[in-house]
Amino acid sequence: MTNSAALLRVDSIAKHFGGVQAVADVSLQVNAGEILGLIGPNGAGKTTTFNLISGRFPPSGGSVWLEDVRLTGLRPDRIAALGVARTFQGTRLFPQLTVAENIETAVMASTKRLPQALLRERVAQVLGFIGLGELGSSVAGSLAYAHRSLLGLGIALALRPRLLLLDEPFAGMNPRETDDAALMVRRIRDTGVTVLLVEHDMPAVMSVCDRIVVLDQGRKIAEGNPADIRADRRVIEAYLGVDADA
Amino acid sequence: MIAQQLANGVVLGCIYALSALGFTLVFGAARVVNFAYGELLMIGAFFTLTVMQTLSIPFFLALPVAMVGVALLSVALFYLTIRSLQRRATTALSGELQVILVTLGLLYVLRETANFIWGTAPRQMDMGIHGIVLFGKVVVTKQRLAVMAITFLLVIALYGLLYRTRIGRALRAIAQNREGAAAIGLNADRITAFVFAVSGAMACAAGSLLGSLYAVESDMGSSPLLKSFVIVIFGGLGSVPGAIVGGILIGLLENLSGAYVSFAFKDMITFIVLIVVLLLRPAGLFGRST
Amino acid sequence: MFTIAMLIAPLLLGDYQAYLLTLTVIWAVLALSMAIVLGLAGQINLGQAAFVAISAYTSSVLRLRYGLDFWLAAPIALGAVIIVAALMGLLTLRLRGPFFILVMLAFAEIVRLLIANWQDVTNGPLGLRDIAPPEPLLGLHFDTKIGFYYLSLVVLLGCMVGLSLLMRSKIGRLLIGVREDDVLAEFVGIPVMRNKVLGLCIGAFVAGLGGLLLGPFLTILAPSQFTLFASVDMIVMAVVGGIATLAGPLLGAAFLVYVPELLSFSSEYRPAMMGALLILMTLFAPQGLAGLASKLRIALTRHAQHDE
Repeated sequence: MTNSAALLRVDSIAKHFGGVQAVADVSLQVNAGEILGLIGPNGAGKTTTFNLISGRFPPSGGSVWLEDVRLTGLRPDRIAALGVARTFQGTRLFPQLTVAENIETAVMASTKRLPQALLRERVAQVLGFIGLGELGSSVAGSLAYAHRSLLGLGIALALRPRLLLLDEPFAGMNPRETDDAALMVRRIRDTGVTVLLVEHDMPAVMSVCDRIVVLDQGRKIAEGNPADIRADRRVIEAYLGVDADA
Repeated sequence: MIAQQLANGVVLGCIYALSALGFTLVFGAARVVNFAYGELLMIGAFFTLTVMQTLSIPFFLALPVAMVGVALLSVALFYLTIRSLQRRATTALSGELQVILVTLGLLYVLRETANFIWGTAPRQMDMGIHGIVLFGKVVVTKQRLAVMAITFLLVIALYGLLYRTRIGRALRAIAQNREGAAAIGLNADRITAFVFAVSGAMACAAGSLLGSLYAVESDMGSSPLLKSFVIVIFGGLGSVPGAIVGGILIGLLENLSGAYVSFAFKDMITFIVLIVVLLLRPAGLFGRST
Repeated sequence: MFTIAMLIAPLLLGDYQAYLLTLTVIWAVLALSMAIVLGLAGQINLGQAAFVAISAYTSSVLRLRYGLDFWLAAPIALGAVIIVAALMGLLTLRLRGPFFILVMLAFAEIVRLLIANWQDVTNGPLGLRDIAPPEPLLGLHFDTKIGFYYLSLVVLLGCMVGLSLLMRSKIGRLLIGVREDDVLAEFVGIPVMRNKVLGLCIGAFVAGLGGLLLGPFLTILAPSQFTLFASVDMIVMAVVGGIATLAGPLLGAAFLVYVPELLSFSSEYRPAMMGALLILMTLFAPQGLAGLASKLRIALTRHAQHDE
């Protein structure tokens, strides 16, 4: 079932580690301009799938395509150059550099030589978007948790990606923070960036995603819009165990 | 002839295996590469010698005493240096590098202290076993047989410790997954200290056996350190069977290349083999890839 | 003003002091090379002495046996070091910390053994002697102690300036990114292996510069000078001085040259002192003397602000 608006296509991807089959057979696609959520109970293989898509390690089978470019087997830096950026759970930063320098590094990595003024402008733009403009000269390693996540997001956005992969963006947030974050994700999408996110937090996923894919035990068991997924019996069974009727 | 070299190689390999076991345990449990390990080996040999001389008891009684001594020393060093680093936030140097730097420093401090206490002249240590046994045309000294026997006993004791005691199970849990183990209440520090103690005891045994076969001197530690490092990498960092098999293999390799290729270059050959193995299998022969 | 002191000092002091100063400067170059590898490739290179040895021996052998001019031998020696470093880097930098250290240790030993046994070229364990100072260049003479000192100083300052410029450039920023978090760096689009190898090569190049100076300075070269000990010396200097700043390695070198002098340590205690220093500095002052100095400066300025 091909869709000409598909930006990312995952074809029967699989991964085993030693004797464990983390992902058995997952196919999905992310359409341009949508926010897709990837969910599933613990051990479903969503993090592994996420890592496969972002190029962290190669799949044991299957392939990943960004439009007509094959992503499978490419090194992460090549994938980033093609317009795919990701965040990390727990947030990775350049700890001894300042917030502005963190963004700057990402911009420098993704562009040919930029004149100083243009570089500064790009950095200011990103900092403004994520709301860290005041903290530009703070050392990244000393930031509070919430600001760290924002910076991680900023680093990814600095690459001006076509596809943004978010690794548990709502982790550790209270309801109000979750709302703010959801708003941020929508704002990002509104700038033309396609978003794929992996999450545990169900309410957040339901409120922010256009479509949802549900994995269980390494396979896709359902996909559709939030309302459909909420009512899907297989999804309910996967999360609660087989005895959903009791 | 070749059978003789093989026999001698196996005995040497036993000592190397013991040494590698101590080294790999610490790595498996604490992710620490202990550069001062060779010096613990050397101090172990000197401890045994000193205990033998001051208490006038034979080798086999002095050895356990010395093993306890080095175990305690090893734990003390852990608490004084490495543990305080593992609590540190990262600075310009990563925590891993800092530990390596500290153990490098310990290497020199321990060696010079030994020089200071015992002097630089090599000493002899008499195991008290004489005579030879003939296996066909192969001559094996009874002393060498004793070395193999002691190795065998210690390895069995170690397996018993790791697989049949509670603390051994805890150790293996920590080696598999440090954070997970902490989550279920295992005290990583206490267990790591225990590992350092066992590691020290192994080093002492290996050093004492080595010293009794060859000589006891203050720079006897550097070669075993390098070789333990090589063996543990061959066999996989943290792998117990890897250390044993690797130790014996290296003992054989060294003896055979020394006899048949060139004495001067035998170390170089071991190194080249190491580099080639590492490049082909970055995790070692038995290791896992993380 | 410190630079000026460095420039005029040898004119005021005697020959022996000039010797010590030159030694300090050359060691500072070596310490800087180790700081570069620690800081940019993020690895402890116990084989750094091998890079120094390759450069020192290549240039000296070319001069002594083939009559080449120092200024012709130098680029060849440096080229050799970079090629070897790039090769080793490509082979080994994808290995994790302990593995890398071991392979480089093995590499260093292999280099040392090669030098010690290749009698025809290197004269084996006895080493090379009567290495002459560099021939005059552009009318400048280096056969006096002062002349050679200035040459060494120019090399050191050149490296420091070069490094400073590099760190401000895009290449430098990418290198720093790799050092700060190599996983993030890769996902941000920085080719990590390439940059780590680059870091190693830059460190090797600077080590090579030190090696070029070492031959004429000591006038003799022997394989026994390039053991694990020598690499640890460089590590100690880098750590004591502080690897985060450019001045750090110079401070470390100065410390290691002058403190034993002032305390008239016999060379027996040297290893113990090195070891103790390494432990103490890593535990209590991982930023080195330079780090302590800047902390002191910050503390003093804060104090001054409070007084107002």
